[in-house]
Amino acid sequence: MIVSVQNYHQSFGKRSILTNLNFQIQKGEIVGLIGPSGSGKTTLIKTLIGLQRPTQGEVHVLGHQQPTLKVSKEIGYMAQSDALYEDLSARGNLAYFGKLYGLRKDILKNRVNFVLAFVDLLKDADRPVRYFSGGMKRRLSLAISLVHQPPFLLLDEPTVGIDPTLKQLFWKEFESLRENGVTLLITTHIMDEAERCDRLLLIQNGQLVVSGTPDMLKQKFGSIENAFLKKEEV
Amino acid sequence: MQSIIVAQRVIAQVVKDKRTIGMMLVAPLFVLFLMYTIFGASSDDVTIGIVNLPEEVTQLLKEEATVITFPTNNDAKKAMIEQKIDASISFENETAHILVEGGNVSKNASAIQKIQRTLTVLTLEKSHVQIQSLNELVVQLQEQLRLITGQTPEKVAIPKTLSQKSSISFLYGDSELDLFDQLAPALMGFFIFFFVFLISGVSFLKERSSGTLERTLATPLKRSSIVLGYFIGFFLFVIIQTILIQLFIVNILGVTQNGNYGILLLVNLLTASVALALGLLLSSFSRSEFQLIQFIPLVIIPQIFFSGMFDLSDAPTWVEFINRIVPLTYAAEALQNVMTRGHTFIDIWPNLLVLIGFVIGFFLLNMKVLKKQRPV
Repeated sequence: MIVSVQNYHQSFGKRSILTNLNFQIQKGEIVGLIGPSGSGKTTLIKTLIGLQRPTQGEVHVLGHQQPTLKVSKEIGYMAQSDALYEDLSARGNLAYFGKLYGLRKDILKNRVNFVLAFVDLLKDADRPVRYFSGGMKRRLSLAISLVHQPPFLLLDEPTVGIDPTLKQLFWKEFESLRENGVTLLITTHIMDEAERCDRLLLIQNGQLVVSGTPDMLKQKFGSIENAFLKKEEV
Repeated sequence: MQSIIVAQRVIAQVVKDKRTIGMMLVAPLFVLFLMYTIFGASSDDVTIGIVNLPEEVTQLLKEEATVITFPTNNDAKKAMIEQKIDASISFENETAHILVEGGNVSKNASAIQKIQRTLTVLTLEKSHVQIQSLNELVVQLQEQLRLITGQTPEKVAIPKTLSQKSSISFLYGDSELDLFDQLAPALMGFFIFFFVFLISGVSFLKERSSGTLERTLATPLKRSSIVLGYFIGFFLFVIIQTILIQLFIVNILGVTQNGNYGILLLVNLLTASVALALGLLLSSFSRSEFQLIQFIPLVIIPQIFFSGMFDLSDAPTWVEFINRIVPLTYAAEALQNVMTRGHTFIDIWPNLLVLIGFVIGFFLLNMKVLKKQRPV
């Protein structure tokens, strides 16, 4: 089991963000975390990485209770906004994060080149990131999340602001990662992306309202979009 | 080890950012040079208008200041309104009437001082003449007495005129010390503090606002390594900056420096370290560059008052209290003692200890603040 969340609550001060979440994620799944903006998706992601302590309940990732530095190495993270060092080159950014994840020098070089090729940035590898287009920055962010070969990937809206061609490329890469036994949790509110997931978690108003395969959601509500909309009315 | 990775990245980033380099290395030198020139530009030359003055007084006054003669008091006043003269003096019934312009404190003080000095010399010379004529009178009387009585009277000791000269010597330095010499140690400390604070604060803030800090916290990097890494990375540039500022002030501007060069550098580097740690810490409480700038009037500017440029002997207790809790007080005190008074390590180590305490304190606080971003 990759993720196990039990009776998890999260609140900031008096404001409650997430209430009583319970779910699990198995190895080798692509799980889609869907829900309207402000429903608490990013808050959940941050707890899963260990950037905040659960107010209540337990969150286990790869057998370790979060927050702990022990699993940081096993998680690949792509934030909603591109968190890149603009003055450094793509290679410089990758090498920095690779080193922080403890990659040895000889391995680091190979891994950097491998992920650069994976996201098709090899020929721009030595240019400073500030000259990059939005799509190139997204690709570099994805490459950074992959550099240390993590078995579990947390991607917060990875395809926001990129063109359809690049989106197709991203999803092909996600699927090829799954082939290699990597588990992915991807947040999105784009319906055709949701359909490509193995399983969906729908969060609304801080609660997990539906969990199931895209087909299950379609049978129950007619379409995934309906599930999204209907539940929001409740 | 992890902090070295962070430090290397910080260095790589700064090197590629020409603006930051310029701000760190060129800006302080430019400001200091400007200040040096401006302090040197003020003069205590004054112009004094005279009305109906005895010739001997005019002669004496001419040795002290530029003198312009006016026929009447009204003419002198008119010239003063037009700011052509700083003071005027006229004699009536053996009394000197002095009118001072009053708009420029230092020139006015200088004018008063010069007029008074002239009048003192005048009085002394007059009494000198009087004493001499009295002495001559005594000699004449003695001669007459001898003629009348036929006896030679005992010689009366004739008092000598008072010596007008005094000799002044200095325990530290000499009379050549000017305003800039006195302010230079404090200014040096302040500028090192200010520029290091600004650059470290803004850089660490950029890390926060761009999301890279959060991204970095998603790695196994320890919180202490982040702060330490930033510290080490910037410290390299701070060393260069500090050496440059010190070389500039001591070797190029030629400010009086009686202390040990190495100890001076040590004090400066510790001052910079406090600023570095404070910059990193305060950036944690700001969401934007603008908010960080708002700390300057609150945290940085008041420290000027405690940097030894102003005499606080008569300040109320609460000012003395603030004086004791701001780091620049200790830095400036040590700098002044080293540069002007030539103190050595044995004299200033308590100040250095306090500065080290500030660095450690800010550092620990920073780690605590970072806990908000990641609880472990």
